[in-house]
Amino acid sequence: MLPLQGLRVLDLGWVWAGPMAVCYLADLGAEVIKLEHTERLDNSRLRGAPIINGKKFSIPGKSIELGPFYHNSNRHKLSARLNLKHPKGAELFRALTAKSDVVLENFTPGTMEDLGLDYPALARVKPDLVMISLSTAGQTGPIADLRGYAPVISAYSGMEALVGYEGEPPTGMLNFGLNDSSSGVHALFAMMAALLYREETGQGQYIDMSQMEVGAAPLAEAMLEYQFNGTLMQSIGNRHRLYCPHGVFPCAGEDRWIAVSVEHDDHWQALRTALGDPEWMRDDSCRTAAGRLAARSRLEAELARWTATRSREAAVKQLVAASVPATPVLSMEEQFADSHFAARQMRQQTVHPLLGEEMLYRLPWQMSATSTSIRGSAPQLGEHDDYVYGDILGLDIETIRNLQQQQIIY
Amino acid sequence: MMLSGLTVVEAGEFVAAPYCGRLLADLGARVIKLEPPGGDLARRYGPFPGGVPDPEKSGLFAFLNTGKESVVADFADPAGREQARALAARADVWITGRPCRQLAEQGLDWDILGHAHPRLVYCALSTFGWSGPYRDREGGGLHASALAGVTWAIGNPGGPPLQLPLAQADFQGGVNAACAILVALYARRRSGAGQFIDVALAEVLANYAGIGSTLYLYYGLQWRRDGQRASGSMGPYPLGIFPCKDGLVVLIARTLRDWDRFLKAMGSPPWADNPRYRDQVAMGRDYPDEVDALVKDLLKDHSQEDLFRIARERGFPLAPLRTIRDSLEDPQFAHRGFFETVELPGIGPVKLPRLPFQFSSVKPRPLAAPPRLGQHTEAALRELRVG
Repeated sequence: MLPLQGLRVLDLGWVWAGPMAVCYLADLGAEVIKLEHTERLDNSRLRGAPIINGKKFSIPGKSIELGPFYHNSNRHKLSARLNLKHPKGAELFRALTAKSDVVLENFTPGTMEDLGLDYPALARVKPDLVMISLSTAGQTGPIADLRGYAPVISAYSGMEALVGYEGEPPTGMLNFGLNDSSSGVHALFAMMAALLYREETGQGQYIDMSQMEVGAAPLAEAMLEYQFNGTLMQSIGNRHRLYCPHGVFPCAGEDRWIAVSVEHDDHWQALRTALGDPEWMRDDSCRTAAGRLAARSRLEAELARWTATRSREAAVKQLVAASVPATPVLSMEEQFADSHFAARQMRQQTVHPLLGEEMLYRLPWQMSATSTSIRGSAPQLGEHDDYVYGDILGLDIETIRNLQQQQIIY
Repeated sequence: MMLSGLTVVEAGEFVAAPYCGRLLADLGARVIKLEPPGGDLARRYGPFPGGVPDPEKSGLFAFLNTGKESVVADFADPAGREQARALAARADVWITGRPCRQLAEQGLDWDILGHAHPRLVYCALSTFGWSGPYRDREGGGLHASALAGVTWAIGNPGGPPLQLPLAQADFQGGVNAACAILVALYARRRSGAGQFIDVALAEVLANYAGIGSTLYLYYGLQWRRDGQRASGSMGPYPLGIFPCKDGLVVLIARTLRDWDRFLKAMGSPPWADNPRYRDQVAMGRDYPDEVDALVKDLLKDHSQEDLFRIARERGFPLAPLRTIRDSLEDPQFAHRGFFETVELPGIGPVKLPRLPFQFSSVKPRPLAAPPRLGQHTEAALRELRVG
């Protein structure tokens, strides 16, 4: 039995962080109902069909069902349609809330209040409700209305400026929406804490989360450096403040790289052994971290000379055998194929009724008594209208069809 | 507080296990931090006032370990291991970041502690995980990011791929571990049994990046580094970093609505209606450099502050690349009380970030100075003796 079985969650999340946060609850057994409006769909449904192996995978009229991103961030959920802007739609939402445990939303602050669906209104029909809002900057404050995606948020929080080559303007990390993933997981933590507390006390909770704060908190090291010493940390590429060598080094072939680090003196000795103790490593001053940092450019250049004449695989093998921390820098295709990740079943196969077989990422942890496995894919739009409004709310089928016709369940 | 009554033993150093412990401590858990005689690695990591190393003055340590107790337990010594086992016997949660092979040798792995204490939730944090071919390899955040496919996509085309800054892999491991622990505690209410949790930093980042990479499939784009842009703008242009008068800004205007709002706010340049600059997917994929030049020209006379104000007024996503100083002085953070001022002994007052969310009816633990190394060793031993 999954631990969250018996909990019902209403998902008004959009795009990434919000949908992902409650997707984890669905993975763990909660019944998560994604409420979608046909004309204002979550934009992760609107990117069209994927191109797989060079071919556009297209089924006429079904492109909103075919998105791999949508499947990854909405797996294990149910989908019901609802027009919240119609007063009757808002009423249906309140009725569903009365029969649910958790509500998540990530609209611009104020939207839920305008719809008559803010926490005070929902707590009236469900006093022990756990509700979470995860907006860009939080529900209050001078820029609470800010619209932003992950890179906008991490630029504002100071993260993007710290990514780049030493002495050059930052490149940022715009491919990688770290702030979205991090916000989703921090939201999960807050929801789980509130749910545990509810079990103890019977008390519900409203959680006001700021994605900007999620991005800022892990930069504390730089915040303290500035407060202690007035120094603004800059991007330092793959180097490390204290360790050397520490970086990404070129291997033979095109765009092949290896990540190597020496984090204490034993690693240095291990590296010497692995490389056969060449002349450039014998300098006594390099036995200590301070000495290695002082010789940084020279050590990096020598190590790069060694890696550049070897295949990435041979270099990794030789270094790992001597217990030097070393890994290949994998492309995404290589990550998919990596034997370690495969052995841990990090991605698991599921079958989508339209797309067919598809690999999805399970929760990124393993538990001995709780399954975190993938059990199915994401729902099709409105697939569970009848269940949600019939079985949960007790409406008869004729009423449901009428509401569909009136574009309230729509 | 939310997690009052919960006892956590934290046997892990640096960032990952301590960030996990900090999240639990802020919500009221009693977190007993087991430190080796030389102290947690973060005590030697700094930053330090004046750059002078002092185990009681590390800034990173202070941020990660506020609200905890410090007990020195030397796992190389049988007495230290016995003490750790005795503390585990009274704990709800055991968090560790130590290597699995070492813990097994020391009789402190899940097989032993979990068998002796069936209600214990045992959470292992590591770079590669406690199973699979790389389980006994050494490595840290640099390696987690490299293996995950994250590093691959950061940096300039043709240049070396870049790691994540400031131990971000470890922070992500920590928050995932904290989630898994709460799930295990939730499950324990029903089952009465604890369990083993295996969190691998590499897997956490691989999951994030792998899911993110699916966004590129819709446009047949590669997950690869593309300088200050997302690769091919991740489909519709623009998703990139651009220079302005006094710094850099991120601009994301990937719908025609947002693109038009941006162009209008910038005074509707003569090229705005040219069909060549209306097809955002072609712009991102086929001639981004050409459009970048036009966009840069629009931005070059505006300051970061002006652009941020204009973007908010006109409703398109743009933000300056800000420095840490900007964050510390930010009115939004100040309004929400995101920083708490803590008096650090021998240093003075500093601002530390609280948790990035607030609960309506429960206050978190107020932030305080972190424990001195071994500050609570005597008390913990006394408690164990009293039984």
